[in-house]
Amino acid sequence: MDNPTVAQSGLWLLILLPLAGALVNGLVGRKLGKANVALIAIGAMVAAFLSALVVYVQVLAGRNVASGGSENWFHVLGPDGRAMVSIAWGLWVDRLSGTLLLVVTGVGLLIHVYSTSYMSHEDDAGYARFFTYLNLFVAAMLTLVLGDSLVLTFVGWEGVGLCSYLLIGFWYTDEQKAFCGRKAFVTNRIGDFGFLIGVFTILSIFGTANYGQLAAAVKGHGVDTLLTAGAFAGWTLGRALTLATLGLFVGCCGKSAQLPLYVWLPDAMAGPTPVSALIHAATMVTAGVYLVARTSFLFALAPATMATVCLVGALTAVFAAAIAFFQNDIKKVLAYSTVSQLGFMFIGVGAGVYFAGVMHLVTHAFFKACLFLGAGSVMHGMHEDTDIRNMGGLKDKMPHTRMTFLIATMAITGIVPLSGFFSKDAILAGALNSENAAFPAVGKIAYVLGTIAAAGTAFYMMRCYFLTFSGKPRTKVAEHAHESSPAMTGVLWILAVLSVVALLLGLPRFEIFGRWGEVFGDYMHPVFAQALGILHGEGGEAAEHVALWPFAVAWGVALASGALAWAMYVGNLREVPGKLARAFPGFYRFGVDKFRVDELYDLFVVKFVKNGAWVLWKVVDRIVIEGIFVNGIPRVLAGLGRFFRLGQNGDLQRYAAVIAVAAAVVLWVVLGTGAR
Amino acid sequence: MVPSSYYLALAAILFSIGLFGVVSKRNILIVFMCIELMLNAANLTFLAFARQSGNMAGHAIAFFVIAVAAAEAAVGLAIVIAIYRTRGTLHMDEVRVLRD
Amino acid sequence: MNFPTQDFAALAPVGILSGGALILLLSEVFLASTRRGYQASLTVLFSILAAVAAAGGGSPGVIFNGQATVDAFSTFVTVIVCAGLALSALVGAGWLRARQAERGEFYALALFGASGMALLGSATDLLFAFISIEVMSISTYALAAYIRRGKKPAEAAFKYFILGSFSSALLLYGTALVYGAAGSTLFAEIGRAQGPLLVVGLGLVAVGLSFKVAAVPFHVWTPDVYEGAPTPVTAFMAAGVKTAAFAVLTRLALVAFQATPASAANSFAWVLAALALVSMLFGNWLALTQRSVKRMLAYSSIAHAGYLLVGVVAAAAAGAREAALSSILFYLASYTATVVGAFAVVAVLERRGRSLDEEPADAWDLERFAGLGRKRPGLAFAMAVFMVSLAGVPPTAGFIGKLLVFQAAISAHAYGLAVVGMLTSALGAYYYLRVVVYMYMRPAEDREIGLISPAIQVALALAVVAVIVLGVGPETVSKLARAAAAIGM
Repeated sequence: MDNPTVAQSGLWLLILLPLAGALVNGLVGRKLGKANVALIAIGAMVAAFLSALVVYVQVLAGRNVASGGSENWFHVLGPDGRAMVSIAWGLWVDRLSGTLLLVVTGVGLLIHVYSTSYMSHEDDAGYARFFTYLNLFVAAMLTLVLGDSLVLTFVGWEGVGLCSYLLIGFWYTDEQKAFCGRKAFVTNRIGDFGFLIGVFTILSIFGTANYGQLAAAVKGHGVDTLLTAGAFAGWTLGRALTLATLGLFVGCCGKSAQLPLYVWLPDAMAGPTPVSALIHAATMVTAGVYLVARTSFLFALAPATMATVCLVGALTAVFAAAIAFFQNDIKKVLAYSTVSQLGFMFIGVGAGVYFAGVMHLVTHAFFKACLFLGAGSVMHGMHEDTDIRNMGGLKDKMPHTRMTFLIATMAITGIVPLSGFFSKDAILAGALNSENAAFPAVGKIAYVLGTIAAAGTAFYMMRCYFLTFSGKPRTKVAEHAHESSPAMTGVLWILAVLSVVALLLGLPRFEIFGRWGEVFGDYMHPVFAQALGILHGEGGEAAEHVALWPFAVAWGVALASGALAWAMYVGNLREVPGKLARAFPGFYRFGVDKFRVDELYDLFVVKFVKNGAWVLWKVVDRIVIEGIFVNGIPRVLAGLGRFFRLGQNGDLQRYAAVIAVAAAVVLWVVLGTGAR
Repeated sequence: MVPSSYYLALAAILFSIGLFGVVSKRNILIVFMCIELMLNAANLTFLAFARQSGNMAGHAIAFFVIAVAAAEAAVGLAIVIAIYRTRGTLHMDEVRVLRD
Repeated sequence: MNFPTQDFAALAPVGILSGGALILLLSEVFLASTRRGYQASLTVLFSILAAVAAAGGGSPGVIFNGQATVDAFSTFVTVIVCAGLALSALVGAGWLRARQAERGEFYALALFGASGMALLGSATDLLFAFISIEVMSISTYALAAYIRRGKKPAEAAFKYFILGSFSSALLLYGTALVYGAAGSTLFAEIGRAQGPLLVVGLGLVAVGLSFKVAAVPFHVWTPDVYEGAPTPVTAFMAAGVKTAAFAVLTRLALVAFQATPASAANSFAWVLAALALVSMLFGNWLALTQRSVKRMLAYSSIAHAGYLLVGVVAAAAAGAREAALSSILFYLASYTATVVGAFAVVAVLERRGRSLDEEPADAWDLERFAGLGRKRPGLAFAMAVFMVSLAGVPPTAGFIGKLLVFQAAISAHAYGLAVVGMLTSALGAYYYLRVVVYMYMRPAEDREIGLISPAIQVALALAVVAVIVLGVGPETVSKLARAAAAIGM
């Protein structure tokens, strides 16, 4: 991050524009009418996207853009009376955050346009509320991406979490949907706690949370450097950073829906479909990947964390893909597929092929947004039915939706030459060739698990496509389905085209591609140079492995399992799925129930708390915990609270007695230990 | 001459009686008087220590405390009257609207 | 012996506050007009004057032979108290006018109370502290009973009065014992003594002060009194009494930590740490179950006392003292702005009975907030800002306050307290954000829109601006807090 910086106070405009849109729509939107609300929201997004382009031209020219890095936010004093921690309000655009900036404003703009049509059935107030939240989300997401310190990123992190919560529960009158919002909220709080631990640890080690200063602080230091000052004096840098980065990664697991905190994302589909596309596929959920990439130089110094990231990513990829096999709700399939693809991104950043992880983030934003919006279009045509078993034959009724959905499906499946193939393959090949200092085999394990997950992806995505669009309509509704409005299909086509042309980013480094080989990797290199230097020795590079066979394997796997899906749902083997389900009924149910992870949490967390509470406080046994996880914990706490409130019975003299007894205890303590 | 430790013990006993009264007596006025008793026990302690050490500050402090206690009694009695007006009784059990 | 003119000059802010109180009392006698709008303005004016006098008066240091110290610390406390007074007076103006109960006594009592609080900020003598506490408390006892209709205000005042005097008696008896052990009540001289008498004395004093700051288990009075007292008075108590009590507790804790033998200092640190711990846990926990927002805020004030106590504990460690003290001051400033604002919204939305004596049971129920985002977007936004700040979410004042306190705790190696603090903050987010959810995501139950009062709107605007400014650009205030953290003993 030593590139020259250009002062660009206009950078703040990027965040302020959508924020202003949210303010106007939030305060007076419902009186303006739908057309004006849409105009304001989209106007703000267009302006933000154009400003992002202007900024990005600077970045392309090799100049990083910073803004306001010297304006102090606050200081914390150290023991010696000097500022130990100083946090500034500053924005920072380099090639990494610039790329994300384009994705957020670009995809965000498209989804705003799509939503004007999709949400048109809402009443005026609901319409205004929706665009308020959506604009607010974009502002928060840009804060997350552009912030030049962990603290500012955390501001955005909480902001996007809030918007996600509000939007999942958008139709709050439906109790079930409001519950899903709460589930997302509680799960994310667990992650945020980890994030905070990470930030505090980093502040204690370095006294700063600014990315540039952190990078400078670890420059030239190795894993074995002994810390001499601060709360971690006497620890080696590697050990302290392992603690810090593990904390951050717990935060990433929450936000980016990795094992074991992924449970909220499938339920987040309760929100309107454009929200699922924007927040729960393209942007917010990738914040964890962005964070790891942003602090790559810290993660690189903590090999144990890198191994954890890689392994968690690989396990999540396989696990979520396996659940997706059994889903019949089109949005649930896409949700589990998102969890699985996020797992791939974490394999990438965990194995040290950062550019590949980020590249997959970008391509995934395109094709998954396309898939979700396509699903939204299908839902419109099907009168909000989401069960793919009720569909079929839609290819004639909804030609545009079908074509774009097919393109995006091929992209995610990894059919050459679409973008998904190259980004996914770059991750897997990179993982295969990576060497982790703490756990050398982790790259190979991730490669194997990732390849299995890739095969799974091809299968369930093709299954989803075939069941939805091929064959004959299976219900009346499907027979009368209709294509959506041009505002929606137009957006679908743009995203579909993007998911194809994004392949230019990811061509591997083969002779025949000439200067297009690994163009994204080279482009991102300055951002990750320091981390790569740590991983592969100063000035060194990852050994060049341009072997052909991983590509061949990946391609073969994708084709084979895609073909299998065709055979089983369209072709000659159509009897097989039913037979399999009948042959292994128990396993089938288990899969349909998403491997009963929700129930496991129920059993483990809620029952544990409940029994503990019963043993400790027999009084509270009347509090029956029927709700699951989210309902459970607040209720248990509330029950205990009620027990302690028995002391608060309104009788003044009981209060006086409590005070007198407590005073006696205090005196006993201070006398017992302090008098001598 | 009576040793000052006797005064201190007396003060401690008075303080305890006052404390016990606040916690156990159900009549509001008696509770009120018990608090006065506690303040005066503290006063007596000040005086005893002042005499024991020959330090005059304690005597001065006692006057301050008496003044403060008088002000407190004035406001306190006004509040007790307000309680009586809203409830028509001075029993503790009636003062339990605010709870939980 | 000369009359200590200079020493009295140093207490000019206190003089302005109590002088103002007398003027307002007299105005009620001589200007028997029905229009009383000027009284709130006068109160605000006096508090601004007092704040200016405090800020401009410099730091004369030790006055009255060591009984008080006017330094940057006491100045900071005085300014916070004045800000809390001015905001509460504005809230009171709107609230009382709607109930036809606006009188000069109300403002006079508030000004007297504030003068006691300002005195408490500079107290460095146990007797001086006792008298200041009584000046503060007697005024607030009377304020709590200010509304003489219905059962609740009188009961709140009564409970506050009996338990407050009870704790004052404990504190006074502790003072007497300390006097016996040390031969003096000056903070500076307490430390020279030792022995069980001193330890018991300081222990009783600590109990008395813990009562005033509402730390668990000395918090029992808080929910009932906060609920029953008139809402503007509750705001004033939550902001002012807490600030002043923490100021003197902090000064005394430093003495107790520094001067008494190591083992005693240790056990005091343990006691304070334990109080902080249970306050954070129970305050948040009990707030969870409340449907009455006013009572929820009462429990939340107990939790915030816990966070502040974490700061006091951190001040015990020699290394982190300055950071801890400045974090306490910053936290007090941010809490004052936030909590007065939150109670102002509660005051606006309070349900009133049909007759004057009727006290609806659901006067402050969460339902009152349902649909507020549509009915009164501005008010809902203000409440959302306060809730987010109380929950400690950036970019608000509450976040910076918590961050500074926990950072100080970590510097002082009090990791356990910092972790519990963060966890309980997460718990707290649930009930604070529940209010936000009600405002924006529940349909309105009725068409009532609550009180409309320009005075309260001014107070709300000021509080919102303060909360956001302290959250976005805390540097100015935190710099002052750091300067104030150098306590000259």
